[in-house]
Amino acid sequence: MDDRTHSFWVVILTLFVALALSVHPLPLWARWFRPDWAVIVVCFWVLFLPNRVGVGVAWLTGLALDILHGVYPGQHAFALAVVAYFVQVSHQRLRMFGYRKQAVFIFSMVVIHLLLGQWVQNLVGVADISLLLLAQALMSALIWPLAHVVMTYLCYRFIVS
Amino acid sequence: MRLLVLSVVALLLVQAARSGWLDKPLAYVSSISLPIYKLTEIPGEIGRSLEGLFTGRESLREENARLRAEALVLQAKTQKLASLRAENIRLRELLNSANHKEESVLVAEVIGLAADPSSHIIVIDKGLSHGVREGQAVIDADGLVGQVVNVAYTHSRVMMITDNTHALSVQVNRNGVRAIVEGSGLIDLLELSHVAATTDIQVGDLLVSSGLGGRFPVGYPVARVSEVTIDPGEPFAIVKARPLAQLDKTQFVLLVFAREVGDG
Repeated sequence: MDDRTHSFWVVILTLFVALALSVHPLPLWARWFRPDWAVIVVCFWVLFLPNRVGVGVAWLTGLALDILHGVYPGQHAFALAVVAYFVQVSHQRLRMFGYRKQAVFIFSMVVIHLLLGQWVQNLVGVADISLLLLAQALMSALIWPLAHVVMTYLCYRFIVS
Repeated sequence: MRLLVLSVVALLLVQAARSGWLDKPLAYVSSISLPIYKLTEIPGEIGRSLEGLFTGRESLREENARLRAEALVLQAKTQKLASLRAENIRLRELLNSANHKEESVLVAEVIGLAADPSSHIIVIDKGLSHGVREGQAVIDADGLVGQVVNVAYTHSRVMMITDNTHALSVQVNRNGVRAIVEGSGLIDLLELSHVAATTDIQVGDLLVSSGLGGRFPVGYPVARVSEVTIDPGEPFAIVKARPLAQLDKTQFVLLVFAREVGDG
C-alpha cells in the first residue's frame, strides 16, 4: 500500500512536469522544435506500469493539456488516448526494443498525436497543417533515451512498481 | 472498448465547447492553469533578477537620467491634452456627432505563449475578475498588439494581429484610404488584402486602426507599410507591412477599456 501511494505521486508529478514543459515560454522559432513532452511521459508510464496507467490516465492528461493550452477540450484527450492504446497493445514487444527502435516508435506516436489534434481542429474550424510537426516528432524521438533514463532513475529511487 | 467510449466522449466535449455550452464552466476550470503558467515563468525571472543584481550603478544612473528626460517630454506633450479634449467634445457636440469614446487602460503582464507554434496567441494575467471581455483591444507602448479571444476567470488569451486567422480594418494615416490588414503567421509581417493597384499607398505609410467593425478603437497605430509591389497582370497590389508593436518581446501590454462619453 505504501509504495502504491508513492507510485501515484511520482506519476502525477512527472505528468505535471510534462504539462508545465509543454507551455514553457520559448522563442517563436524554437516552438517548432519543442518535444511533445506529454506523449513522452504518457508512453513511458504505459510501458512501465501497463496495469495501472492506460487509456484513462492518458485521456485525463490530454484533458488537462487542452485546458492549459486553451483549445477546445477533448482534442488532446482523444489524441493521447489513442496513443496510449497503441502503446498498450504493443507494450510487451516495445519493452524488448533498444532505445533506437523505441525512439522510432515514439516518433510515430508523436506524429499520430499531432495529426489527430490537427484533424480535430480541422473539424471545428481553421487549422494550419504544417509538415514542421515532423520537427517536433524528431526532437521527441531524440530526447526519448534521456527522458527514459531520468524517469527510470526516479522509479528506482522512489520504488515505483 | 474503453478507448471507444473515451474517444466519443472527447469528441462530444469538443462539439459542446464549440457550441459554447461550456463557456462558463471552462472559464472557471481553466483558472487552474494560471499557477502552471506562473511556474514556467520562474527560470526567466531568476535570470532577470540576476541581471539586475549585476547591473552597474553607472548604467542605472544613466537609465534614470534618460527616463527623467523622457518623462519631461511626455509631460510637456500632455499639458495641452485636457484643453484639447474639452475642445474636441465641444466641437463634436456642435457637429451633432455623438458617442465620442473615452478610453482607459489596464496594465497586464504576458505570462505565456500558445504552445501551438502556428498560432500567435499570448496569455495575459488579467481575466474576468478584472473586467476583461472577449474582443477587447490590446496595445503596447508602440502600437496595436491584438484582441482578447478567450477569457478565463484569472487570465485571458490574446490573439496577436500577426496570427494567420486575424484581420482588421485600418486606414492610411496620410490620406484616410481604408484597407484590411491580415496576419501572415510570421511575427514581423502583415499583408494588406485587396488593395487596388491604383490606390495611393506608399512605402513608409503609417496604418492606424479605423474603428470599423467595432472591435478596435479608432486611431491606434498598427503597422508601417514596408513593401508595395504592383504587377500589371494582377488586379491587386501586393502590400506588406511591419507591425509597430513589439510583438515578440513585449512583457507588459495594455488592455483598452472604451466607454462612451458625451452622448448627445
